[in-house]
Amino acid sequence: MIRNARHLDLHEILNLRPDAEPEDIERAYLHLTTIYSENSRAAYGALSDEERRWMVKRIQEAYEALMIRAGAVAETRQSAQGRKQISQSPGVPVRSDGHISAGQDAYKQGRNPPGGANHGGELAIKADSQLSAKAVTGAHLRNIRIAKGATLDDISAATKVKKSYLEAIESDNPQRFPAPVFMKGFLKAYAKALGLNPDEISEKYLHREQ
Amino acid sequence: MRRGYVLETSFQDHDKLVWAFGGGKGGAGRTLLSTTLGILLAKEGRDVVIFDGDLECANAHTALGMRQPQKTLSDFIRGKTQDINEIAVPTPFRNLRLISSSGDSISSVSPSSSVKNRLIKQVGSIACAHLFADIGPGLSSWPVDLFLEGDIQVIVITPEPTAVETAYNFIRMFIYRKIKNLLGDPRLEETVKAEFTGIGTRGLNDVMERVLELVSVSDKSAADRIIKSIGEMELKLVVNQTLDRHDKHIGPAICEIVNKFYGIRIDYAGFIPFDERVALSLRRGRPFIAEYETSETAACFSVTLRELLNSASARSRKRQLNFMAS
Repeated sequence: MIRNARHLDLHEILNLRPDAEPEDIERAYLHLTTIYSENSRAAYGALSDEERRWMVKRIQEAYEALMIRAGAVAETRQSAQGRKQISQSPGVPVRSDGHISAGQDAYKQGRNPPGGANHGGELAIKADSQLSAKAVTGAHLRNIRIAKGATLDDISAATKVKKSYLEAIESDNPQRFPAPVFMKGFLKAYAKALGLNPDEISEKYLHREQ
Repeated sequence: MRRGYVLETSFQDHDKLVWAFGGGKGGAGRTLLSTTLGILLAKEGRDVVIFDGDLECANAHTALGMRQPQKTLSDFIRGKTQDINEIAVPTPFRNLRLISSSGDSISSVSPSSSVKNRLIKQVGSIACAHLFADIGPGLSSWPVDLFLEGDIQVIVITPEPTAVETAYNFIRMFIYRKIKNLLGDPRLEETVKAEFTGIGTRGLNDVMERVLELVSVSDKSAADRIIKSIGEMELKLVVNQTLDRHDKHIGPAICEIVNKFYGIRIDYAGFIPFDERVALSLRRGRPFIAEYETSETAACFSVTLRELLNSASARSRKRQLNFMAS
């Protein structure tokens, strides 16, 4: 068969090896979105409009899917290796599944966590309960993180997301991201590391942004 | 070298490498690149012939710092000589000869297609170790078919959108001609041509898939030949006259697009920075590389030459292995 972009898998679309790290995925995503952007000089006269748009979409899909997958792999690896990075940080209890332990597990218990199972202190209850609101802000997330005793460095080590991006999430600063999808991917990883529901957080946070 | 499909891996011409410098856009630097790399390779003691394939505006001789040679392709076209090797004239550089198409005459401008076909066949009989074919501009059958003869096929562009756009057109035309030459059935050729006319809206990926479907219905072996030959294609890309780092990124980016959407393989072989001394030395009637041998720009030419040579030997090893395995 003659090679055809439509037959490429997620890694091939981004020119990545199957064991690519989140940083590689991030770099490839940024690089390729530039190449296939509407104003790209390199793509000038190369593709039909439909092909170019298809590719932009495909890059986006591949990026999101691989980032989520990479996050899950990193988590498994972390839990297998004894979750050193996070447990070394004082005051941050680590659950058996590698998440930073929360007073409540908002991921599992949904919007109205019962107060009974609280190990993280009052602040955590307060912070987590903010999630039942329709919108989640960077300040909410920061409160939850602080309540759980985690520093940005802890989260960055756990998610492999750069600290500056985490700060951008907490300070509600989407301009710091090269593309909206970056924010989404990192936000999900961040939420996951805090033991929150990534989809719910991303929906409430980004919905508010729009 | 023109090789029949069957001969493709049979080492008939393994002692001669044909380098083709194409890309379509006039002024992109094919002549500069072919003459400079030719000089550099000849300096290493290899036997090099530059074939000026620009029939209409030949000036490889000028780029080499020579006057118009006494013997040119028009002598061959007009039948004054039967052996093309007789018109390979010496240049000021050791081990380097030139077949100039510059001539007198109206006869060499737009020669008939039978003359062009004869010329293309003759490319195989030029006796040398490295034949550097400087392909003229445009997308007509002469430049594209001559480019198809290359063992090392180099697309030369400048970073401007005009050259980039033309290079994509040139590559598409090159793929089309390659497929067409493998068919040998006029009706099938017409069908393929009609499909390729829709490239602008459908894109090459889809067109090629459709072409393969259509061809395999009436001629399965032709379809297999196309798949094999497209799969073996390995173009090289050189970006000339880069000004800044953005310009340096354009080469790898073009390769990325072609590799995914054109069904063929293209590798980035290097860049040559914009250097006004290139123009100045040409005005003085001296090749740049002879005047500024130790400049950074000269180093870029050397690196590009090395890159092209390395990939050629890697490819020949691969072919050798395939041949031994088959």
